Amino acid sequence: MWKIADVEIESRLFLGTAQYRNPELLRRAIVESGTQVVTVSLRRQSKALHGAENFWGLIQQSGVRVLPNTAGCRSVKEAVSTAQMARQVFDTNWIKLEVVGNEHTLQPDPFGLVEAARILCEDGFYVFPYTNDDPVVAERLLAAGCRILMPWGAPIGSGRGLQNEYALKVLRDQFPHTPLLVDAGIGAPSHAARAMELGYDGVLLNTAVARSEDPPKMAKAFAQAVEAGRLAYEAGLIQVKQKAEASTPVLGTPFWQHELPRGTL
Amino acid sequence: MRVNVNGEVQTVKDRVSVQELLSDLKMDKPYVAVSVNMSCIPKFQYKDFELHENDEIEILVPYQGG
Repeated sequence: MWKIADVEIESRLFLGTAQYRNPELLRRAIVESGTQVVTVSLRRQSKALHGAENFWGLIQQSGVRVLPNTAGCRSVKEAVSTAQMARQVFDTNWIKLEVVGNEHTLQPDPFGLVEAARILCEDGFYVFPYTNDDPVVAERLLAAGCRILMPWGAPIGSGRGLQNEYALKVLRDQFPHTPLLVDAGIGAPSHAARAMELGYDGVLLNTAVARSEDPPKMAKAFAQAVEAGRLAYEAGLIQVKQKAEASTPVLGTPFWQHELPRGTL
Repeated sequence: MRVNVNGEVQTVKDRVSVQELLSDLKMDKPYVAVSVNMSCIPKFQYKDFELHENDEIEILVPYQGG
């Protein structure tokens, strides 16, 4: 069990709801992942409302918490307005805050992100900022009122895994009491496990499951990887060494006293 | 008067309220959110919030997201 905003959560895997080939695959992926938090968005209503109605119905029936996002926002004003609209629709003060700063990498605009976070925290939101792995930005976000941080592993949807493990570890070391989730860029269960081994509190991913050949099975694989990584972190990984060290005891090794000529078979 | 709804110009009656607009568009649902000129309009204001010429209105609904 761990806590976010005084809410106790068992699963450390947050799952995105986009890009599934059909709603049934999404529903089964949610079940198999064991997730208790899924991300959702707001978009312009298209010709018929039944699509939105069906999607929202599916999410509500799954019994998970929703974490609305501000995906696609490129300014503070857009992000704040979208967050406030999300609060109206989803009846939650949780918001995954995204302020995109670069079209090529979709990496966050740290200046806009901090400003939007400050406004939304003052407005009563519990802000989950999608941020980079810069500890200075992290400090500013915490000063703005954020109580959780979600640094990227790699560009959104790239599946490249943890591109800067050193930076992620620095964040973990510098903010030992702040919940940290790796958000974006995870492509394989091993990436998620590694994030958890580093001591991250959870991971948020979407594409790696939704775009796999079998999303429900991949969701289960990620669930197990996240759990394995967390257990490994809690158990304490051994120190990496430069040379071999025999695991079988040397004491009592047969023929130990014999000096054999080099090359003897 | 003319207003812009989700990127499309529409002709509506003068001083129409957000509530009336949603009703006319058959979009008065609990899972719909509205902004006018990039400011979120709380649901309790829908009835009294009047629209003006060239207002830019966004009507948003739940959608998949990552």
